[in-house]
Amino acid sequence: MFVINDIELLQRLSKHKILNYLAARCVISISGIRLNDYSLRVRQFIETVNEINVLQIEKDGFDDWIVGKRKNLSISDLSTIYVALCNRGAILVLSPEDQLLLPELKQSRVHYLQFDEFVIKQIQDERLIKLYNVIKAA
Amino acid sequence: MENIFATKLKELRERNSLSLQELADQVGVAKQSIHKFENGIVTPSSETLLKISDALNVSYSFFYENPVSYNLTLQNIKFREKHKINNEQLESEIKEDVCKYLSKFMELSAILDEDLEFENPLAGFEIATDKDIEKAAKLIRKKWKIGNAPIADVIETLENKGVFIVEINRVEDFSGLSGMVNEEIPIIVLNEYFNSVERKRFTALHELGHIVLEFSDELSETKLERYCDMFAGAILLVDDVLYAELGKNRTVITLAELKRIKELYGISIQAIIMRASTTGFIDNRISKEWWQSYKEWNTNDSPSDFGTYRSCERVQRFSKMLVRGVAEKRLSMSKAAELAEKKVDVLRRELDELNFSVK
Repeated sequence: MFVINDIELLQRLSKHKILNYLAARCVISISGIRLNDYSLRVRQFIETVNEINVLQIEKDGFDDWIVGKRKNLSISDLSTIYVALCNRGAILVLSPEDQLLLPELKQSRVHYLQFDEFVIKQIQDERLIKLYNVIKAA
Repeated sequence: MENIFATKLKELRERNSLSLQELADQVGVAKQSIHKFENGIVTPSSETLLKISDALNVSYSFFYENPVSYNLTLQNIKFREKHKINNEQLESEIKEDVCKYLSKFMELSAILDEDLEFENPLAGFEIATDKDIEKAAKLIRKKWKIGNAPIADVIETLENKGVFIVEINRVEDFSGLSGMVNEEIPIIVLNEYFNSVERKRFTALHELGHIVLEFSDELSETKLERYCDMFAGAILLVDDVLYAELGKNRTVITLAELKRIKELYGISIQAIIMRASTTGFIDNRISKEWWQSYKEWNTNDSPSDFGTYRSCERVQRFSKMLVRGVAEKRLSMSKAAELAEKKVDVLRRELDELNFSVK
């Protein structure tokens, strides 16, 4: 299972049908708390995408876990990490703007990989990878 | 966490004028469940809390904020004369807004490792007479290196000197108030609802007067308020500048002249006439004639004839720090949105429109 923090990037991938290819090859999840961080427009869009699993967390455990965590991350950033932590074998996929999550990921021993790497490994299609690079840069 | 959550939930529900049943219906749980959440007997699941957040129109992280932990208390609160607030609830709500803003500010300052301490430029300078006010205004301009030039943006100037400014929007009749937080952080609260740009500038400086001026103990409350008004006027328009703008031996004044000064210095026409009078530029008789002219202009001329000062005059320090933090990758975009109480995509769009490269 791959956990995504950058939901806007996910939305763009979905609009351009890249998400379909990805979802056919792996399980894609996001944190419910993270999704709540976006406007209704984004949330409604994501909720219509069947390929994305919206995962909730066990609140008491999360409340205990976030104590003393890095202050430059939001509750929703931390919820994404916690989702990855609580789901055995989950890998957190980092977009370029998620790099601030790295120290906490290392501290919590959560597996992660960069979004580019994730797309290249999963898609293996030059045309789609080029399209991904265009979408990412937009 | 449970107790903070329980207290916040109850306060927020009541502030939204929702009954236990109404909130329960919106969230899709039993009324008893909300009752148990509010009393700390049961903690909701994250899914239920997300529904509660939606129903009460706050972010999920709202329930994790804890402004009390900064131990913020306002002291020395002074309201503008004739605009005194007697409503205890209103005062308490304003304090709550201020503490919440300051908590976020301090959290952001800690992340960015920035600390701007306020130093009173008039410390030890006691005010006893009208002349002391003019001296104080000149001294503060000198220490803040403003010279005699117009102050382009009063709020930005004060923020840069370490004064915390909070803007609120209340229909209650008051322009602003000032105080100290934990006896060291000066704070000015401005009510946008009643403030034109010129009034906002004047009110901010009037409140600054309450913070920096050290008055003789014998001064009455009325005199003190008058001195703060004089101080605001003196900072906006230095007496020498006023004399140079108006010229010598004036008896009759035109609206066009006053409008020009207003648009250049960001001071209202009433305040300019008051300045001319309090600095002794005109005597009582001429002052009465000018006020009479002002009344006639008010009757005969359109509001546009009175001019407008073009300036932003908005609180910006917090936003600027947020932008800097995101640009320098000191905090995540999501954290910035959390602090700004905005949705991530909305904040990103705003930053993109400002053309900051923060991707």
